[in-house]
Amino acid sequence: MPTSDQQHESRIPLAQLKRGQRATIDSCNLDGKCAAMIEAMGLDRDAQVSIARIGDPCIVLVHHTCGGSCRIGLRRNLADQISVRPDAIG
Amino acid sequence: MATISTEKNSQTQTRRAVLLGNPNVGKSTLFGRIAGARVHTSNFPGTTQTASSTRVGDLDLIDLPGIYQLEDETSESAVCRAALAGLIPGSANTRPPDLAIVIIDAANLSRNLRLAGEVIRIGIPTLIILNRIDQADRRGIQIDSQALSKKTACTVIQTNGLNGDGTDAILPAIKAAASPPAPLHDISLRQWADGVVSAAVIANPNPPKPERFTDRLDNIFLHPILGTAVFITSMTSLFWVVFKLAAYPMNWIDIAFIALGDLTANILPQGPIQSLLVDGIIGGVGATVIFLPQICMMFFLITLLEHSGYLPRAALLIDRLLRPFGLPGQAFVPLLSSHACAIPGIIACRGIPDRRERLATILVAPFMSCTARIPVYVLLTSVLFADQPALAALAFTGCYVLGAATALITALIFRRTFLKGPSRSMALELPGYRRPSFRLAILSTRDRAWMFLRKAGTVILAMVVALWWLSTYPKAAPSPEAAAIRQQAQAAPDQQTADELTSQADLVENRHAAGSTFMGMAGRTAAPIFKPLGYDWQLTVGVLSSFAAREVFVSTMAVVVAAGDANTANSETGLQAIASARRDDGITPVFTNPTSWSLLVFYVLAMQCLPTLAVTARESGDWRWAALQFGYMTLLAYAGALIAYATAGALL
Repeated sequence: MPTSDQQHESRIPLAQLKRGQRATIDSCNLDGKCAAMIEAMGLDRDAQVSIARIGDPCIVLVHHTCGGSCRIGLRRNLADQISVRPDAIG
Repeated sequence: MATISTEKNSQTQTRRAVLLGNPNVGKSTLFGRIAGARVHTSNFPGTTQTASSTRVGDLDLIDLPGIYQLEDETSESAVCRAALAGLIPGSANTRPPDLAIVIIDAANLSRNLRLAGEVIRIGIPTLIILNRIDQADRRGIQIDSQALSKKTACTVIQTNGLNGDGTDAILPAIKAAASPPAPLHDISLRQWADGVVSAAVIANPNPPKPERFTDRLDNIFLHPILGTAVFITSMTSLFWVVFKLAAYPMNWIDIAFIALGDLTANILPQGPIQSLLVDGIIGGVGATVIFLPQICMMFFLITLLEHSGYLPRAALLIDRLLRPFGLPGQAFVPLLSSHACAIPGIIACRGIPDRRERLATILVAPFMSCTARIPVYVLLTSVLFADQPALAALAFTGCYVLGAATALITALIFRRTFLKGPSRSMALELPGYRRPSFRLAILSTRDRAWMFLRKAGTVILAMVVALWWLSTYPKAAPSPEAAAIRQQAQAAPDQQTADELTSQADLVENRHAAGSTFMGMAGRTAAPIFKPLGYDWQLTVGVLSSFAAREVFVSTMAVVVAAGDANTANSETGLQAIASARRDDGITPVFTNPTSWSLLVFYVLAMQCLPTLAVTARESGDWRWAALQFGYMTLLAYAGALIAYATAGALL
């Protein structure tokens, strides 16, 4: 069982990912309407993502299990509200 | 060919199928391939956000707007839910469709499948089309159609909408598909989609290639400085092309309508019918149709930009600039299109997901200087700066800036008051860059042109006839003043003096006639209201007549103040005649400098377009929004003109 400190360490806002680094979405701290829209675009829990452009706006790649991906432009404040677990190697 | 179906026979054998899919999956292109119809092909600026339908044999095919999911609060999803429940626009019976066709981007299968899952869950027979199969191939994604079909219990076909591969199989598949698929049970859509994907997809063992080209372009276009420079350059060149290139066809249309008017005037005997046709219908419709080249050019270029993939990036970049005014990045395309005409601009507001942000954008869109304002700007800036084209151009540009700035500031005020609410942050799918298709852009432009011409042929025609009647009747008794001048002319010593006196008599006669019509009476009655702005009764007639459509101002002024010179077809001398017209005292020019400034500001800000108000009422769902739009814009225009008149009077 990981300590709370480790758990805290392993979760960072999506906006703080390094370029090209892969991560898994952990949770979205967004209000209902916003969350529904973002989720429908594929940015939901356990989705595999990486950052193609850092800054405001940032560009997130959502990687599908089938090998495809889609590109989503996000305002920085949105990307701050989405917390991710970076993959082990990165 | 493309027809909007009007439910001629709703016999039982008529099958009805709806097309659904995520935005940007090539749905409308496929729709066009199946139906042979020419429809718009992308969702982004709101081109296919209402259901459009066509009939192929005994099949009614309905193209629905692109959505990510059925259950959300966007207007697009509401349209789709209604269509699946059987409430098809323009159709009387409420029978659910016989078939739902879900178009899926093969390279984006897992997310796209969720929408298919939602549709299947409703229990309507579903046909799945895997489009963009070439894109999936390129990424090494192999999809086993049979396994997909087995897992979803739907017929599955693979297509490439761009080159037409596999599209021949669509119609037979639509005819064959019948049995409702097994409904999903307790699992979530996502679990279901993942299960289908793992059963049907042979994933690429190699990691996906990074999209360096797209990354690089995105970095340029979204860069705060570089991206803004690209944005300003592309928008400036867009407007330059629209105004410079459209000037030629506009000139041809002008010449053609003048020729048509002259021809009609020569064929028909003088009288009310000739007057109605020449002054009313040909003149009025000509004054509207002349904007067609600009509107076409604008939409052609916007469509090219949209297909290239640049527009969503521009919207994302502009979001940062629009945000402080309480507007989202999605408002950029509506506001841009409003520079051609506010009507398509307001319709494009459907792409804004948040209701309050959408209403704010609709309310301020008509401040953008549409093409109908151009003739008024040209007249007034050339009156103000007759021999200084550079200053005239500067004032002209100033009108655009004033309109746009007022739009942003009023939007901010609305968003802080009765449209108060949190700004929804922007998330936008960025499709890959591709070479824009000229063919598709031309087809889309043709649709817009047709829409505009239909408006010119109906609403505007009716208004033009009404205006003609109001400004022609009742006929005045002959003017005694003019008669006196004519008598002088007959007694004149030489031919030249006689001619001058005769034309002076015509001028007096025409002004007398204009002043005694209903419009003239209204002008005299309303003149006290506009007096503080520096307008006499003649200008008041011009302003009143342009409340239905502002471009009427120039032609009204030509009739009211410069009737004596109206036979000069040359527009240059026509403008000069208007500019040099005198008020009733015969000394003061109609267009003094402060008056011209005041008029210029008034025309930038005033809501003078009935069709736009009708569209606002329809798109906002309540005529009171249209009433508000008319009220506040008119008040603002009055206040602005008052300030301009006082300031110009004090400074000049």
